[in-house]
Amino acid sequence: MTPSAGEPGERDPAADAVHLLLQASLERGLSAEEAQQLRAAASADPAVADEVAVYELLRAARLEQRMARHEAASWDQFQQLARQHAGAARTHAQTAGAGGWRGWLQRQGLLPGQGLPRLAALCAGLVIAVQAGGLVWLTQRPADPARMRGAGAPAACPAVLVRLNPQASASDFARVLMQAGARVVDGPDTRGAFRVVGPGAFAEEAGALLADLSQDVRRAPDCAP
Amino acid sequence: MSLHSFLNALASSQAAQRNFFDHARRAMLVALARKYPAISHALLEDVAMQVFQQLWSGLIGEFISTHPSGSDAFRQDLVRYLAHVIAPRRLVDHLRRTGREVPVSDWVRPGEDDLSEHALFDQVLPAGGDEVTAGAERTQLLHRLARCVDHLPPRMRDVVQQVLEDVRQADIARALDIPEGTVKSRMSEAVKRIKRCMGIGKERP
Repeated sequence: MTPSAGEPGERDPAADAVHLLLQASLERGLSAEEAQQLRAAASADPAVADEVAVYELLRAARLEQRMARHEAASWDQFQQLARQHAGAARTHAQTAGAGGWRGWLQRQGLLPGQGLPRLAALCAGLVIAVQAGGLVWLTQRPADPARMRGAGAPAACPAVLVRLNPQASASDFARVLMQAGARVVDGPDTRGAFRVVGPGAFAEEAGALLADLSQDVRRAPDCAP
Repeated sequence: MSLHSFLNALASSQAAQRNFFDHARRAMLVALARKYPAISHALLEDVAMQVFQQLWSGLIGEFISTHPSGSDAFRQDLVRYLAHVIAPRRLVDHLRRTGREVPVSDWVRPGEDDLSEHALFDQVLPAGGDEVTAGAERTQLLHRLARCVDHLPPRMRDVVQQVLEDVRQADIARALDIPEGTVKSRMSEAVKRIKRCMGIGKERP
């Protein structure tokens, strides 16, 4: 390539193709075939290899200019990341200093950092405690034989099933139950009856006590007479 | 743990940050640009910043260095790891996510016959090895290139400088009001002169 390239008027098509590829390499990536073609030319002719080297330098110089153009913005972003890291490290150190479960929660991101008010942290803790208590109750509560039988009502006895008058008020009903030391534990069922549990002889006395307020008072069938 | 110590120390010194930023960013961009010449520089910058984010988030968990975290050797290992492992991985992930074809040359592994473009252009500038030494050699070569470009005749120098500023040849032709073929021939001639000025191939008999 070198002799013909140096002599005006004589053009070497292969050399021209190589030059075009080298110049194209400044504007776009070369395909594998083009790169292979250049490689073959560079292997065959040291002058081509030298030109490839010059183009590599030009590409490197252009990269330097590109990097310089983006440098300020990149440096700003980098510093911002460093500041965020430093802030997180300080928070981590304070949390680790607090130690215990609170520190662990904060490290896991389950508790807020310094920026949030203490009240929010307290509320979050309360919610966690209530939920935890609920879960413990659900898993640890005693088994209820009646529910296991599918009765649908607690088996506390003595108990009666009461269907109230439509005119009966809730306050009257509550007052009678309070005087008798009884309480509603279930209902209303499909018949509209409430299950009421009371002390000692409540089952015998319930009919009389609730006569003015009820349509029907019956002893609970699952309680022995 | 040592990476964590390194980052804590880095966060506390702006001079150390600047030094590491320059070193790591340059290494990543040079490695990516060499390996993926067809990818836009803006995307390479994005990838480099994503790597920094990953680093500062402590998500470079698999990085291991046998050197103490405060040593230059540790920093060298880390920069090399970011430039040659993490950054290419992030770029390929990005290209796959956005449905872009990953160039064939990306899959050439060391030790195999590397016929890709980046290997073709990997003849003059130092690559790999000691990043600091390589960087210094690169800087020397680029200074010499700049001097040689300054000594070109003005009509060639204008073309080369615009090429270095990322102006496409068609746009150079329009700006200088000359045919695109003239831009190409001036560029070819400039390259020959730069080669002579740089002493490339001089040692050959």
